[in-house]
Amino acid sequence: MIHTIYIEEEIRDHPRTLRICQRFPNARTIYCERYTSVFNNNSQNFRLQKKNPALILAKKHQKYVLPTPAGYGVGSERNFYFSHMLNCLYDCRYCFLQGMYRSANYLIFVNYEDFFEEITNTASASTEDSWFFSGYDCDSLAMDPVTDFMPTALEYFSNHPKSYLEIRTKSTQIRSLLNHEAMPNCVVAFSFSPNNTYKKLEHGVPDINKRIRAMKKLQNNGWRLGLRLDPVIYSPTLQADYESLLENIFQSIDAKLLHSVSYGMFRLPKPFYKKMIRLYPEEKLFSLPLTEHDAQVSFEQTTELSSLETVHTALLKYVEEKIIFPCR
Amino acid sequence: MINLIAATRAEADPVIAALKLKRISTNFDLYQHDHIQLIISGMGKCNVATACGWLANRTFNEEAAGATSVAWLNFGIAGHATHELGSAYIAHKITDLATGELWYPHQFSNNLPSSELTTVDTPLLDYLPDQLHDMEASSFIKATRIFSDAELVQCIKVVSDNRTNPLSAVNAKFANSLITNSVEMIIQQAEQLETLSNTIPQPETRLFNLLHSRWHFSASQTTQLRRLLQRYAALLDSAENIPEPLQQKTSSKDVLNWLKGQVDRADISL
Repeated sequence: MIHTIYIEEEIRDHPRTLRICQRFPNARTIYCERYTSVFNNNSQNFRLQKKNPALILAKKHQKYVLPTPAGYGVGSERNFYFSHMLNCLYDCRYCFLQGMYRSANYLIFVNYEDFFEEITNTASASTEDSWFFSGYDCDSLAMDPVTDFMPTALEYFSNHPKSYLEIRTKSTQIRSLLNHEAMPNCVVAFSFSPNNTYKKLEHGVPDINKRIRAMKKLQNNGWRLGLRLDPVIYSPTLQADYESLLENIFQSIDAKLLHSVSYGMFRLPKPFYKKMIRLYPEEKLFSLPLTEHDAQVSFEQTTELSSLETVHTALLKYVEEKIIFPCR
Repeated sequence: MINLIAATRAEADPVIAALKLKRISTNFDLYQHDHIQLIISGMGKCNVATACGWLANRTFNEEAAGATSVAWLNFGIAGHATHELGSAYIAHKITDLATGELWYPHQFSNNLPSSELTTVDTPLLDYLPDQLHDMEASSFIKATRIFSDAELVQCIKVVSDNRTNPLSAVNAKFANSLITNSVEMIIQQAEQLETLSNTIPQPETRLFNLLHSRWHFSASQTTQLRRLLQRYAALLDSAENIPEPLQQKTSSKDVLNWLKGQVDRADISL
């Protein structure tokens, strides 16, 4: 899977670096001074790199925790995100990472403790609960067997009950969660699209039913679950598609135990959208009649509103209004 | 398309013969067969930069107008303190000793051994530890990354001298024999690089050229035309000829309006 590992000189002997390298004994190891020499250079091509991404192990030096964009959250006032990893194992064609980065290499910051120190500082700035979202710049669980981040994160959050963790994922790599006692301040949030969108756009993502089975196992073990329907992509069969998806999910998942549901329309910052067209000019999604509004490229507002209303209505069949959060 | 760069005739000849390339230019020693071009740049950073710039202009603007994706491979001999003569390496880190600039060519596999490569302006008295030495690679990679994606630019070097077999013993005949022994591997790498380059979708040029030559489009209309044709191909069809309803249009504005109407009304299920 990984054939080349770039390692920053500063962390070449870090225990996590050594452990991760042990997993890939046949990989070529290349040392570099800073990861920025390898990640996100001007002439790099995300599409070409995605064919065979390398792994980069580095140390992050600042900005471990950032406020979430407006409209991103599940009911709390204090929302932050952190990314111990940049880029994703999967290749979803709608994903903004393709527009944000020029490099598709997987970048792992091995100094996890520095993230937790800043999470502590951020949370202690207020007496209110704080939410920390993992899985904004990567999938939280997909690479967990490599990163081994979750056991460390769960240990930290189990000792900080006023800090809430959302683990957003499309993965079925739930072993580290099943090995840990369920925590009241942790939500495992699974993202889904209807089957036709999944088949056409979510390359490499585990099958919908396998993800539902992973959710069920977690719910049976007492974990709080979230459901994320973002992005919603318009289709003439949108209503039937979402009704079918939700029926499939709630045949297995107890809706009453669900922590939250959020949904949001397909939307991209214009510079990201332009870059993604250049990468995938043949992609039908980027040729649909999209428009620019609120500094984002998305479907026309009437299409957007009716699509979101359709999804919202479909959700109300299973869950209470108070746990539904639209994202903008 | 793939462009191959060698510093000297001695290094280039085995590849020219193996690929049956024909000489086609007198400005530079340029050889071609079908979608493969090979240029003999001359030794040193200045020569290779000039050759790459000239070849890029020829590739993108003259011979293959509209080409958007070209792969580049620099091959040749290099020194190393301890590596065995004749062993071949793909460069995974290239440093320019004079300027300190460095590059990390993307590695697509680990099938071939790789090495650090330092480009020097003049031969060194002794070898730097654990790296290849040549006189062109840094200039080659700096120049070609202007024209192509970084992943499509690679260097392969064959060891010609080491501490026990000094540079002074290397002559044209020896360089030629070293490349001859590695020619199959060099061609294989070139083919892999070209295959990768071909995965980048080429823009629709035939219909664009037909429309652009028949009606007058301003600069901004030309941009609109390109994007509309891109959407037309993605949503409807890759039309080879001017669609029948467009034949009746009298102005570029009408052409654009018709195309926009078609793509905006297209079935928008994925």
